[in-house]
Formats: sequence, C-alpha cells, structure tokens
Amino acid sequence: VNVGGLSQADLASRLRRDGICLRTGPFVIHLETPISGLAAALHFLYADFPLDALEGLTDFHVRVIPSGGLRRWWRPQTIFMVDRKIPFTPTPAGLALPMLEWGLNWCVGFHAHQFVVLHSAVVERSGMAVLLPGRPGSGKSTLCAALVNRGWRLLSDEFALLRPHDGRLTPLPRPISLKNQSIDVIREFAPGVVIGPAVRDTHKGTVAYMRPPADSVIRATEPAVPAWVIFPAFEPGAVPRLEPLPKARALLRLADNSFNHSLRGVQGFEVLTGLIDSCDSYEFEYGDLESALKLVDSLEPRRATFRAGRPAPAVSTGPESRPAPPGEATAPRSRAPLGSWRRGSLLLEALSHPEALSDLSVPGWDRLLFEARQAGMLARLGARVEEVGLLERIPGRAREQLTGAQALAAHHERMARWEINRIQRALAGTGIPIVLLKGTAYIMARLPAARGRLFSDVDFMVPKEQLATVEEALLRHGWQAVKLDAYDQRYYREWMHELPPLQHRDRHTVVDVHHTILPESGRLHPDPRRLLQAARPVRGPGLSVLAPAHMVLHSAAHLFQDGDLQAGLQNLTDLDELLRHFASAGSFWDDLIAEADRLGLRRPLFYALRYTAMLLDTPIPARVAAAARAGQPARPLLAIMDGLVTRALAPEPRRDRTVGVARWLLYVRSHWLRMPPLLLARHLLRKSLKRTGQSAG
Amino acid sequence: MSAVLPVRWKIGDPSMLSWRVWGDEHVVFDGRSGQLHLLNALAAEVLKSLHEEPADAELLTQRLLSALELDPAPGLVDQVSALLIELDKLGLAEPIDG
Repeated sequence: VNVGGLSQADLASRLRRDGICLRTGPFVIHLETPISGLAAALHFLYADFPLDALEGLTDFHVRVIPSGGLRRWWRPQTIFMVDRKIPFTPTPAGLALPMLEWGLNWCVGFHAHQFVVLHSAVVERSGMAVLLPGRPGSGKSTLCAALVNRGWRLLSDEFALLRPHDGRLTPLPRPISLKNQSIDVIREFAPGVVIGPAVRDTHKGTVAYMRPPADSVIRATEPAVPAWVIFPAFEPGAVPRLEPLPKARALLRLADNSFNHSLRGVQGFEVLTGLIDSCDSYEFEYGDLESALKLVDSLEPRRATFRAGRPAPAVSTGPESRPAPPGEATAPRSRAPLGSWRRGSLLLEALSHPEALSDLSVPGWDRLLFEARQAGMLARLGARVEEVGLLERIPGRAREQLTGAQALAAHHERMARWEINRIQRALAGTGIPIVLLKGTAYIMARLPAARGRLFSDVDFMVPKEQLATVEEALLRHGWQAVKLDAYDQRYYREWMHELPPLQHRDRHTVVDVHHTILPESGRLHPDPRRLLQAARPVRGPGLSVLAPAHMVLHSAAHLFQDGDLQAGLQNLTDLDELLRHFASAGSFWDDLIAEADRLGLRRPLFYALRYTAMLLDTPIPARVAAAARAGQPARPLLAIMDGLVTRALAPEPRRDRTVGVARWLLYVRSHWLRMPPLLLARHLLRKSLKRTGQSAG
Repeated sequence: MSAVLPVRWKIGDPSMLSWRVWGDEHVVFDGRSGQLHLLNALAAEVLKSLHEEPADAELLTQRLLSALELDPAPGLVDQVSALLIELDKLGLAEPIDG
C-alpha cells in the first residue's frame, strides 16, 4: 500500500492513532502526528511512497506534535521527537512540514553510519550518477530539480549514501526542498511539476517541496554507480563553466561535505579516494538552468571501476584497544530465557543475557532497537551481541543499525585516544602524572567497559596543587574556557571537584581536569591523595588509571552521589562491566569494601551493587552484598530510591510520565547532596535569575 | 629559532598515516586524529624523510635539498623548523623526548 492509496482522512487517522511505517529508500520511519495539516502535506508529497516496514524493522520512531501547556494558545509551536528525544528547539506551529523534513535529514545525516554520508544531491541516467555536493545556497537542489524534470532519476536532493563495500550509491528519494526564488524558477522551468504550498518565514526563508517523480520512488532499491562529482555554484548571469578539479582538491572538498567519513577511519578515507578515482570532478558555475543542463547532458561517462574500500568490519578498533578476552577474567553472563521482560525493558534483559537474543522475534528486535536508541545504548548492545557471536545471525537491518552505532563508538574511542595524546603533548615537560578517569581510563586500561561506549569529554585527575600549571599548559596549547561567566568560574573553582571545562578551539573537544572525584561543597569527601597514590600505570608516558576498587567507587559515586543521569544506563552498564571484569582479580571484593569504608563511599557503593544486581543481574558475592549493607539507608528511603532509580535508569518501553518525574527527583537529590542548603538556595536563585535575564534579553 | 627546538623529530605514528598521491598532489589521512591533510611538496618530503629516519631540522634540510634537487638557500633551515612546528600542531610530527 502506498500513502496515496489511503484517503487523506484515513492517513490522518492512522497518523494520529498508531502511526505509519513510511519507507524512504533504505530507511523505515515510524511516524506519528496529530497535526492534520501535516497529514495533508504528507498525503500530497509522499503519495507514491510505500507504507511498510522492511523486514519488520524501523530505523527511527518520529513524532511531530504540537506543544502543550500555555503554548497551545500563545504562539503555538511544533515539536520534533525522534526515539523519544527532542533534538531541536521547537518551531512555530506553521512550520511542521519543514520541521519534519529537516528532522528526517538530521536522522540520516547523524545516524546512518552504515553508509558514508555526503551532503550532496544525486541524480542518475543510464546507471551513471552525478553527485552535486554543496552547501546551502550553492544551487544544488535547484539544479537537481531541473535535472529530474529532464529525465534524470532522483536519488536524493540532500544525501549521497555511499555503500562502503562497493562504493555504489543507495537512493534516498524524498521531496526536493526548494527555497525562495528557486520555487518560481522551477515552476517556470517545468510547468507540470508538482510543488506543495510555500511555507514562509522559516530560518531559510520561504520553502516549498517538490514531489519526487513516481519512477524515482519505485526504483528506490536500485543503486547507481558514481561517474561525476560536480560542485555547483549558482551565480546569476554567469556563463556556465565546467572546470576540471584536481583530484586532491576534489577529495578535500568532498571531505568538507561529508558527515561521517572520518568515523570509519582509514576505510572512510579509502571510500572517498575510491570515489574520486572513479569519477571526473568539476567545479560548475552556472547562471541559468537551460544552458547548465546542456552542459551536464554533454558529459561523457568514463567507465572507471570503483576501487572499493576494505570490507566493512563489524567494528574497527585497533589491536591495542582489544579488551581482555571474555571469560579470562570476566564473570560469564548466564543463559536465561528472554521474553519475560520482568523489568519491563527488553534492553535490560538483552544486556544481561545477550545469548538469549538468538530466539528473539523480529517484532522483538524492533522493540529492542527502539529501546537501545532511546537510551543511547545501540553500540553497547552491538558489542554484547558481537561478544556472544550472534552478529551474523540476527536480522540484516538490525545488524546494520548495530554495526553503524559500533562504528560511531569506535570513532569516539579513536578520538578519545587522540585527545589523550594531545593532552600528553601539552603537558610534556611538566612532569605531572595524568590519572585518567571514566571512559578514557577504560580505553587505556583495555577494559571491557570501553566496548561500545560513547564519550562526550575527556576526564583526568591531577593533584590539586598542580591545577594551575596544568590549566596554564592547556590554555597555551589551544584549550579555552567554556564557562566565561564570573559566577560559573567561582562555582567550579571554589565548590566543584574540577576546573571549569576547557574546550579545544580547533577540535572542539572538552576536557575536565579533576582534583578529586566529588564536589568539595558536597557531603562526601574521599581523600584524593589516596586515589592518586594507588593509581596504576597504563601504556603511555605519564599515564595511569585508578586502582580497580577506586575505579568502581568513582563510577558509583559519579552515578549515585553526583547524580549524572544524562547517560544513566551507560554508567550503570560501566559498573556492571567493571564488577564482572574485576570479580576474579585477587582481593578485589575485599579491597572494594575496605576502600569504600576508608573513603567514606559506603552509600554509593551500596546503591551500585544493589542496582547493577537488580537491573543487570551482575553477580555480587553474598558476603560482599552483606558487607555493603553498611551503606544501606533507612527502609523508607530505600523504597523511594528503588522506585526512582529503577524508573530513571531503565529505558521507557512505553510512554510513562513517572519516568520524567523520577529523573527530575533524582536530579534534585544530586543537587541536595552537592551543596549545603544555604549555598544551594543561593546557587539556584542565582541560576534562575541568570536564566530569566537570558530569556528577557 | 632552531636552537630552541628539540633536537630530533619523528613521525607521530607512521602506521596510522594513509597516503594518496595524484601527480604532484599529496594527501595524507591521519587515522589517529581523523584529519585529512593536503600537503605541498616540501611538507610531503619532510614527512617521507622523517618516515625513513628521525632527523633534526638541519639534517632534514640537507636531505630535502638532495631529494628535491634544490640549491641551498639562506633561511631554509628556519623554514623547515617552522614547518616542523606546524606538523607538530597537526599531530603529524613530534620531537623525540620533547
């Protein structure tokens, strides 16, 4: 069934109730919206698109909804949600269609890592494709629309999706976005063209969408061979000029228009060089469409063979990053039947018992992937699936999602290693040892917790008396303060456990330099000297990581005392991995209990052991669990924490308002633990005044 | 300027560099940083030379003169030294024990 096969009322009703599965090229979008105007636009523009889920799996769950509360009446807005997250600020209500189109572009550009994704229009004729990469305003969509109206097949007006294994282009036909004068230009150029109503006052001006030709939509599974790369530049009145572009410069221009080639490391580089080798590349200035098309039509295809990149590895981590083989020191995950969903979450079951995924049905996979995307745990799930040897035995489209996410995680790992290298270089000669914390520590210590982990910043710790030297060295090597406000600076320097975050001016990576592991204004004060003294060296000059017991305690304190719930489930699975890995290491459990006592971290340790066991079946020896009860809170408080933590950390299989409330209450709790009441009141007042000032300004 | 430089230079990690040469155009992809660099002939020759063997700026200059069949010119050592600092910033070259 195609979208156009339904009546508009039927489509609107389906979109409002259960949603539809809309297939666009290689992707299936589960789309829900109660906005009838958007349903009408979809009925018009997507008439030829099939309504089905490839292999029963969806890639993105999208909801486009009107804003609630007072906003319903006062300047109503539209919200774009993907996998229960809101990636952008809402737009005015009338912009629902552009919001959806831009949102779908965002989904592809930043998540479709099974492809090398370029920002480029692509059209094809006789099996040979032209790529038209270009930034907004270069005229690529206008040229693309004109070519499509003269017999070229539309692959996409926005993305070139390069298959890494053979360099062919996968079509992604969707409505062509025309802006401002281009709308009338195309209407005049092709009077029979089907263009939807113009939407005014977007941040790109007036936008209208051209319905893609039915033939392009029907042939959306036919890949094409790239033959030309043409960088368009529209210049009113210019005589069309096709200027050959030297290959190295074409490669750099292509890399500038790439969303993710570097994410695949050397394989991404080889895909791009293969493309450049097999294509003729040009700069193309044009001033009118007729003469531009004549020139493009005159191109002679050069039947070059694409030099394919390496076969796509499941995950490309270097030999150094390979964690210790599972089973060597890691407690095995017991086989248990999947499907009881006793915690209401299939993801938790899958992370605890990945072996059982061999029995999972296709609808089960669809739900599991949805939960994993929601929790930002797709790569870690992929690592678990790979670890138990199931990656080749799961539905192909599920594998694509998992390996794409693993490629992203492998890229994060490479970038974290690189950042450590740059920090070492900046601090060379100071003689200050660097104690890595959290994710970067797991990488450099080659721990299983590094597998499939995503990073947002690099954390390391130095003695407090060395902070000034470290900060000065980092500032000299290109890092800059992110928090420029005088109050924020004071907040970090007086009360926190780290310097204000520093961001590199070129790489935009963020470094957190710690001098201890919990805020100085907080209730607990673990002795940082003890942590630094017991640190263990890892490969690399001047690098070390916390001792195993301290590493677990830091992770526990970070999650349950400092309340970092942004990546709550990832942090909990870190703890699970660390505990399983260190479980068989000599005196680990005794050290853990003893160090929790010495550092005053009994309470966070109690929570860590309780909730890893409860949510992830982490095996905790009975005597250790008993000893950890020294940190147990009073029963009423424990009952409250059980309710909050299990809601806040588990993914949401169904929409559940209590989850948001639980996360908010834990956020409030973390602030309560972070500062004494009077200081906290002053801090919150200050922050709210600042926010009010900003919104007023 | 060269007097304050560390004595010898090397490639950061040669195994992570992927090269592509089209005529006199040199492109190198650094797998550690994920960065793609377009190199001029001098920078390409410096990296190739360091790949073969670490060297200080003066030795490197001699090697370049020979490889590129150039005549000695005043200031070339300083030019090579400045280039090494640029390559260091990009993470392509680094001083040994620096």
